Amino acid sequence: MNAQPAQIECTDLVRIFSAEGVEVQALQGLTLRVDRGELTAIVGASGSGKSTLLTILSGLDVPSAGSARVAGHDLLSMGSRERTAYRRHTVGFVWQQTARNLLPYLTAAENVAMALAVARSPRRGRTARVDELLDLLGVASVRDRPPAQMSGGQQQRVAIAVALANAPEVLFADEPTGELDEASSQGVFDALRDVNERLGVTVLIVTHDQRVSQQVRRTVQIRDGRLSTEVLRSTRLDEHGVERHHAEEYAVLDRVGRLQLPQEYLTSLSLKDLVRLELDTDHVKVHPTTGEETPS
Amino acid sequence: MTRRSRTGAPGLLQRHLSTGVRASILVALLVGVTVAGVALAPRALARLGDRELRHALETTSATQLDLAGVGQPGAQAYAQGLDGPYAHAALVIGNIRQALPLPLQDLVGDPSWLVRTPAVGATAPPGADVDLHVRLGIDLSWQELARPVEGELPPTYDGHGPIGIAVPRALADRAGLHVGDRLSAEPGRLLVTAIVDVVDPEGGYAAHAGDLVTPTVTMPSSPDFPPTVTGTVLVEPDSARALEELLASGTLTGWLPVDGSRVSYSEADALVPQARRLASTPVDLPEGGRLGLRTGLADVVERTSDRIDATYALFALAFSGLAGVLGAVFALGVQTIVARRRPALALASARGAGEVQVRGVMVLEGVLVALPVSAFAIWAVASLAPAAVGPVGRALPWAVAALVPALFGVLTSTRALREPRQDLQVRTRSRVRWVLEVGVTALAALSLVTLDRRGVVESSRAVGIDPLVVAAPILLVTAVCVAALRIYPWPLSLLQRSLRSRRGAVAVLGTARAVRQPALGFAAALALVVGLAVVTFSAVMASTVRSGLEDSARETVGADVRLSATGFDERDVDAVRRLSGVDEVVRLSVRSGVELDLGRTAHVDVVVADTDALHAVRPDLPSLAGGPGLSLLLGTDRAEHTGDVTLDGRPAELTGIVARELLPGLESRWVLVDESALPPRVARGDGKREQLLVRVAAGSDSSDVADRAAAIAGRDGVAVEVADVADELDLARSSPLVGGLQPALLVAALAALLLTLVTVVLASLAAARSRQQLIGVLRILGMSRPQLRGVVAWELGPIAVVAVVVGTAVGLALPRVVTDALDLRPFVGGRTPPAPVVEPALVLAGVGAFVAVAVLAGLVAVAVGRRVAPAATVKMGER
Repeated sequence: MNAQPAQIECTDLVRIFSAEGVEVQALQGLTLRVDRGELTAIVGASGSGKSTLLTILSGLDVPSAGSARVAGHDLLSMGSRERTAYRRHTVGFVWQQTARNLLPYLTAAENVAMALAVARSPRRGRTARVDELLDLLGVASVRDRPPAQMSGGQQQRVAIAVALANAPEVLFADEPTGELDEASSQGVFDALRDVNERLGVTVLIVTHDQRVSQQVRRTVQIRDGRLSTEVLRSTRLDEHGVERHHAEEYAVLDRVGRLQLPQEYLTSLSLKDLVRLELDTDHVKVHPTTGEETPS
Repeated sequence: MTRRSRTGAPGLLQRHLSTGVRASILVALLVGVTVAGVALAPRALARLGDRELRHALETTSATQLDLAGVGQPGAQAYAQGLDGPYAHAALVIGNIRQALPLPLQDLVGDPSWLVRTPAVGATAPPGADVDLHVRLGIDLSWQELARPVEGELPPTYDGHGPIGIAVPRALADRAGLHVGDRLSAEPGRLLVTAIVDVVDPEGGYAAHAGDLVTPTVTMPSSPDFPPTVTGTVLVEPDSARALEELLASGTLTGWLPVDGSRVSYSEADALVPQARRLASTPVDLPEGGRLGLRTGLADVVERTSDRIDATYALFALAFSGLAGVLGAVFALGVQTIVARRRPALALASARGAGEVQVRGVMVLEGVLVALPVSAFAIWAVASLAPAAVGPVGRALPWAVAALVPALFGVLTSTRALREPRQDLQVRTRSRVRWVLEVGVTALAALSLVTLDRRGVVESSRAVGIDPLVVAAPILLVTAVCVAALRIYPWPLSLLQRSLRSRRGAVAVLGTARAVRQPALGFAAALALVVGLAVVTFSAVMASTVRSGLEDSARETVGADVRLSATGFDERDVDAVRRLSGVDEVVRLSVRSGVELDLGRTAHVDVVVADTDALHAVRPDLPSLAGGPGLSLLLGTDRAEHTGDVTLDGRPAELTGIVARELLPGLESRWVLVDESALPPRVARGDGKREQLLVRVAAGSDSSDVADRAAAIAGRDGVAVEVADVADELDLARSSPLVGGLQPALLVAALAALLLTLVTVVLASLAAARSRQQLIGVLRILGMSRPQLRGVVAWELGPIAVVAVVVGTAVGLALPRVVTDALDLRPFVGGRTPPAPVVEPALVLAGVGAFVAVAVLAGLVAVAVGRRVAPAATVKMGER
């Protein structure tokens, strides 16, 4: 295990939404750890709890149980003052919908300036900071245009600039490429990766996009409100000195020993209800059970 | 198109605030109209108060109102160093007005006065069959006062020869006097040198020195003697030297006319003690003379102020409910703007804008929306309707204007930004709302208990616009509404469960939405309930006041029609009874000064009547006929001993004690006796006063009956005084207050209806987005148009039903609270405090209008909301 304290650390997170007579458990004991400077993708089916997790991490929602810490802030015990400071200086966000990222009646520069104004950054140097960020994201050309006059990719890059305005330690992106075509998607993802590499900002991307998830070193899958599997990718040189991408899938074992097997394993072996386990010297085997074996 | 970007906070703010201003303009208009109304109301009230006070003073006779008195002129008419008769007295009297404090001084005109000798017998000219008495009068302004129509004004009387007199025309006509007539009288011979018209444009002489204008005629007790005629004649003022002694034993009559047309109600509080103090301090005149001035001004002003205050309190009550609706409408309007700003605020909040920043921006927007338009409205009202308003009247419009930015601040919270309309939802787990609701309920209970303990306040002057009275209704309505909204999801859930088994989807969907995601939130529901409560309250108060006025008029008259004269004979009574439109007639004869012994002897008026007939005309008075002995009913307004009773020495039985005013037109205590119980000799009273009380048939006009009855009873030239309920009511209604109350109640009801309309439209528009989304989905699922209409109807339906039930109930209950707390007698008159009168037709009309307006508003809002195509709304997705 890494000795350095984690940048993001969630343990047994639970979030229950209840309305009149209806209860939805969006997170069911999710545990996640992300280290400083990591670029991590979270994938999962619709309704698996990805967005809920992100809303909690960005300080917009509070979990029903469990613990969550981001950059030293305990998200459960944060007071409103600390929460405000947290949103201003610790985290930045990019959402899927432009409407949630940018105010339609402000120009790109004004949108960035608004984030600076909200955080009460000194007026002197504000314009310089705005220009620096727009330059960094490659959208200086749309500096004085409102979002409606930008392409989708430009909008998302301006949104990243806005999110970075106050130099956050962590950047959350919720489906940042969801509404974009392939080329724009790649541009936005490149921008995020660039930010991660050049500024050292920890980036957590929630995405459906296979192309995106395949480009990050670590992909975490959420199923039914829990972390199920993790894929770690690395680049190795093979015996011919050629660079090979290598991906290894891991299942997540929680503290009490629960484990989610990937769906395709379950179907291909018809694993259902009861399975038989067999402990070997260095691994555990899971066998399907036949009808006769099933105790009544 | 690009534009220059601004990076400073003010520039960004300006960009933010100048976006989407249409809703802001609408709310600004609403605020402007309201503030103008609030600024206008105290002015209208002040004007109404002025008009009522003026009306009261103008309809009060000068005799009662003027500062007037009769005193002694002093021993000597001439003072050293001053020219002319009564020069010193003239100086002193002339200064009375200047010495009066303001504002009394402003109402009072210049003094008039005259000195008169006692009445002395004078021989009337032959042929005039009168016993003539004259008073010699000296008035320093006699040349303007007396305009000769015949002869010339008399010369100075110096002690020799006849005393020249100017005789007013009315006296000359009555006593048969002509120019040149010589009369022998006590001080010397009188010579009529002129017959004059008395110039009395303001009526001061007629009121205070009446026999100068019209002689007093007293009819003799026996036909053998001629009538006595007493009048004032004028002598040349300098005759005072020769007549000094006689004048010294006479009287000085002085008065200062009061002109009520300039009075302002704001001066009423100062006027009353000033007028009272004046009456208690007589004016000292030279040479031992003295003039005590009296006036009924204080009483009239005080009585009228009570009426005005009672009306103000009533207005405050009727309009305090409106304030509740208005608050709710403001909240909805502000909520609409907040909802528009929500995405921007949510984004800013997510980026780290603190509570203070978010609320601050919205408060700033509230200030921009409300203050300029309010300042304009207040300025416009102040310049269009200038009137003196108190500090409360001045502060109130600003307070209303300030409410808007406050609402902007309150309704915006970073927490509310995530869940739409959370703070206005009917059901919420918000702790703040629980605390508020419990607080309102506790306050309502407290105010009711306090009102109950205090009981009816006799004088509304003590009440004024009492915050407790004013706040009680709105607190009560809000508390009931809170309770109703807390309870109403339960029956709705039950309904929902029972509907689940049915086939139709509309009702199930409708109830589910009503329970889980109500389209109309708390503010809208409160506005609807309070709106209907105001409508019902206005209807009930209107009928209560009308019936109170009618009762009071009937009490004042004593029946539908009352005729008074010296006597009515059987023929008259029968003729009146036969008139069409007359149900029953009874004659009351009065004998004054009869000895009544109730353990203590007193003199009372005995009222003799056929008490069977009286009972028919006045069912509240018992029939006394048929008893073995002499049965009496005592009318009195003091506590009486009751022991063995004798009337005029005859043992009698007291059957009851009632209020003196039950029989009008009687000054002292009275006993009612049936005519059959008295010997015929005394059964007709003393023949000085009789009354006919008439009950008019239903549907007949009492004024018409009164005119015809008076024509019969007065056919021999007998003076008949007539009073009838319709006339009395007209008189009561001629008061600006009474005339103003009904329209004010109507305005309150109409304003409530209008605000209901605005509420439903605003609330439905706010729900348009979610409705269209739902309709889009339901259409795709295959719902028909009628079914969709049903789904939409369920939005308004349940809350409207709650509003109708709770609003009507509260509206019916409120008048009871009001009449329990506030005595309306100063306003409607009468003896018993009016109790609420519910006219079902009127209340139903109010409720009907309310339902119609609500439905209309719902249709309008839905029609406006329908402009969004369903396909587009479905595409909007989850956000």
